[in-house]
Amino acid sequence: MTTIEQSAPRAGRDKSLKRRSRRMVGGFLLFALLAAGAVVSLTVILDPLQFYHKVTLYTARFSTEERYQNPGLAKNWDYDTIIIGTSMTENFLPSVVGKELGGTVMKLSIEGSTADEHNKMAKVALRTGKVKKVLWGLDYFSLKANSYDNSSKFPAYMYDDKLWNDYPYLFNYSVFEQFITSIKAKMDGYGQQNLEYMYNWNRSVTFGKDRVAKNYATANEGEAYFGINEESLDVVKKSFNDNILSLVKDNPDVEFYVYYPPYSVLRQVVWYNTNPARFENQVEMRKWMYEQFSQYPNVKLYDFQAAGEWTYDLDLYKDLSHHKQDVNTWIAEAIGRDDPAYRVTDANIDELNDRIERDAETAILNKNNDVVNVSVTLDGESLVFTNRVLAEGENGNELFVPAKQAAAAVGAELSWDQPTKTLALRKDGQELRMIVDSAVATVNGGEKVDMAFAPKLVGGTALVPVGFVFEQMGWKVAVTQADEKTTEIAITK
Amino acid sequence: MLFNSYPFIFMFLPVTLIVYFVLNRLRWTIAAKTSLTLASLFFYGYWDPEYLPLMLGSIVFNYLIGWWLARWSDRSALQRRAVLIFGLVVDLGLLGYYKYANFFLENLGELTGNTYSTLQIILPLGISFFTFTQIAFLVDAYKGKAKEFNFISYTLFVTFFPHLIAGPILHHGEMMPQFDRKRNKVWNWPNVAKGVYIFCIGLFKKVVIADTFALYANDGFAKASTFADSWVASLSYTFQLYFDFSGYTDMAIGIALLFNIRLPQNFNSPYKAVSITDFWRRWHMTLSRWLRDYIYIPLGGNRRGFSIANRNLIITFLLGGLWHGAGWTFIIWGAMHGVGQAIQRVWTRRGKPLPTWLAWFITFMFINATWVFFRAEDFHQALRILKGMIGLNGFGFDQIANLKTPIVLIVLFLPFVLMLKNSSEKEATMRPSLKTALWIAVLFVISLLYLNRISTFLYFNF
Repeated sequence: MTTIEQSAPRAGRDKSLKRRSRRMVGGFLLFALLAAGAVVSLTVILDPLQFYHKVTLYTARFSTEERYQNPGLAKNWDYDTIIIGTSMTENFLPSVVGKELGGTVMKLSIEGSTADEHNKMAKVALRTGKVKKVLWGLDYFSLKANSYDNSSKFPAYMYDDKLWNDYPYLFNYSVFEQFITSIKAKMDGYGQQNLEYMYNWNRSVTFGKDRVAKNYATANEGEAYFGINEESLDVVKKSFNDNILSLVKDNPDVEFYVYYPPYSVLRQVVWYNTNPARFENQVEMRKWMYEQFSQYPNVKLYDFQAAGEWTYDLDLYKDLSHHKQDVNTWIAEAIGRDDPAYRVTDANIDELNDRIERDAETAILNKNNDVVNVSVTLDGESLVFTNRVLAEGENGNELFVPAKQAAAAVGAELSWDQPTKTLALRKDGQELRMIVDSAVATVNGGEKVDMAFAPKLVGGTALVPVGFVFEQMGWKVAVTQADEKTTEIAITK
Repeated sequence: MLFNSYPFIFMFLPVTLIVYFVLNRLRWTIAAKTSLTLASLFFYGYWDPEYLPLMLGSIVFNYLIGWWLARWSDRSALQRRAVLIFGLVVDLGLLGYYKYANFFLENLGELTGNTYSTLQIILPLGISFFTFTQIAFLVDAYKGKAKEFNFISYTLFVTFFPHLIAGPILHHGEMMPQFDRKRNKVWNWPNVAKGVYIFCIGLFKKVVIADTFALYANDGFAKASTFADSWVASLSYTFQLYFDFSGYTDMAIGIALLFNIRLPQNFNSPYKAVSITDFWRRWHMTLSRWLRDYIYIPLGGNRRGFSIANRNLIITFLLGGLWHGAGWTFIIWGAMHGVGQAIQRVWTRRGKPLPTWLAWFITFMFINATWVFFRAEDFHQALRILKGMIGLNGFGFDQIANLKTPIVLIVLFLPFVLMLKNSSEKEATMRPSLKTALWIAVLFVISLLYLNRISTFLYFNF
């Protein structure tokens, strides 16, 4: 009897606990569902990124994240021309492009982006049926596969037609933050933003040759590492076909204006020095992509990478590759008038490529941080070196090149003594000994010769004056300066 | 898989729960147990299945050693000890290789002047946890306290997904009886209510509170140097770490409760501690228990005199530091806690007891300062923050306007860690009601919003 008395109330307590627990769990599910519904409706109404509709309820500010903001702009604004590309295209002024190409322009650039992102971006716009013209800045590196790593931050769900996968937008804290930013801006007296200067960084950076030179100095060493995993051309070509050419093919009524953006010539030099495979691939792709494009009537290709009048003027750049807004304007104007100097054709593609290769082989920075050309010829044939350094003296210029490459060009055997930092070149019984940082060389074991410029060590590479080396090993060397920007070192037997 | 992710909350967890309880309902208990084991392996392999074989290998090995020890229960202590030592050497060797080999090579290189190329090793997720769990099992098996002949049960004990990646560190004896108890195989509403309750609190702690503090901690550790911003950085991290780790443990406890499994408490308001020893009774309690039972006591504990006890304490915490990560900053952090406790012991013996508020203050300052080493990427960074905190780099009060938000947050959450009840206490006293349901639903939905934060795109290469 006592056991029943004790257990009966306990069983009752358990039962009521169970009931209340079940009600709590049910309540939790219901409330969570209601709260989620409320959040979703609020997001759709406020729509701070204007993803579903143009906001009229309040003045919405544009997000600084292009990947999130652009889809809304593409879907809900009026335009007939779009700009696609990386940060190289961010400084286009839509009004200028509109005037030159004839149309209303929406800039849909994405910083640090790759071709697959460009493809998705362009598709959002093309799907609306509004697009008549596309201006596309095509960077070789956007086709490289390993830059896809960035895409983990890419909100692909904003770029498709599916509604069900929009939940990261519908259910997003940052979206409300963006709403608050808009309200704050309104209270601080800011009006509606102008799309003309959106994502334009022209006024927030410093341009100039000194900055470029500084960048160049570190890039030569720093970028060597990128060369290790250069992807094969198949990967690059596939990316081009899948992401760019397919759009040209599928949209025959849309005109595509594609251009190769002008980097400073030093950009090409650095690739040439640190990553020859990449440099060669790039040059090859420039032609191959042209050939693919040329099969379609709705695409025109322009090349500004061989445009020496811009690429040699370092004051137009903030680093090795990013140019001023002025350059974007010139590009728009050149494309607008279909300038034959830049329009790529069957007749000029090889010449344009030759020009880029020649630039990479001969361009060099002088004391004033201006780019000059120094070429070396051996019996009329050009001799090429990487990692070249210019030495300017009263008695003419000299070119430093890596000792290994100089020895190879001479056909001499090279030895290096680490403790004394002595270089020795031997060929056919002749010997030339030079010591790093010493302006006196020794020829054939005894005779001392003064050097105009002492050999030096730069970043672990021994550099020697190429003219001096050839001269001492029995060649004739003539240095001629056609003008202050062009030096030719002619070596003859 | 992370608890704080959509795939876990909306796919993995519901499916696993339904399958487990439906199979149990059909009285296919072995199938139910197997389903939970397979689900746990899926949970582990979700990111990178590459390390699944390693963990499975470790499990098979330890299962066999445990089986061997149980079978030899009548053999001589010497023989059994040899088996145990063999097991421990393999376990520690594996952990050592994956976690410490590169650290060791680097330091060997610095000592001898040679350069050793670093090994291409990726740290397998949770290796520190599953190794410690299994070491405890072997020692328990050696002592005759644990026996497990069923391979599925053993695998489930090690991999049960709520505790697999970040603890708590469990004993075989506190887990397996729960799985085998009949009434635990039935859906239990009070446990579900409690589980959901503590899971939501944990989720909110992790993704809203900790991840917000993380922004300021990361920012501060990257560049703080003056008094004001160094304090903001270190306190932000102190809060981040607590809310992060205890939030994650809360989630683990909550999820396990849905399966009618009670995991041990792992945090008990650690920042309320009034001494370092007290702190370690409240912070990562299952690790403290492990260190005590499997290092401190085997070293002799405090039975061999005052100074030996202090030595043991320091050794224990040095190893505890190293367990947290392969780096000198972790070793220093451990050393500080070991030495700190030794000093505290000397003080308790010789000095006068401190007033509680002062004891709390010193303890909190000590913990906050040691976390700087724990968080810093290197010495240089740690010293910069610590120098800043004692005012050696100027005060920077003119910049304080920029620190408004983190300061408000620190002030706001200080009472939570110092005065209010912690989540375990709240769970213990929770009475199921619709009101409670409403506010945890709100916490839950807010947390879900935070899971989709837009992260700033960092412009690296071009």
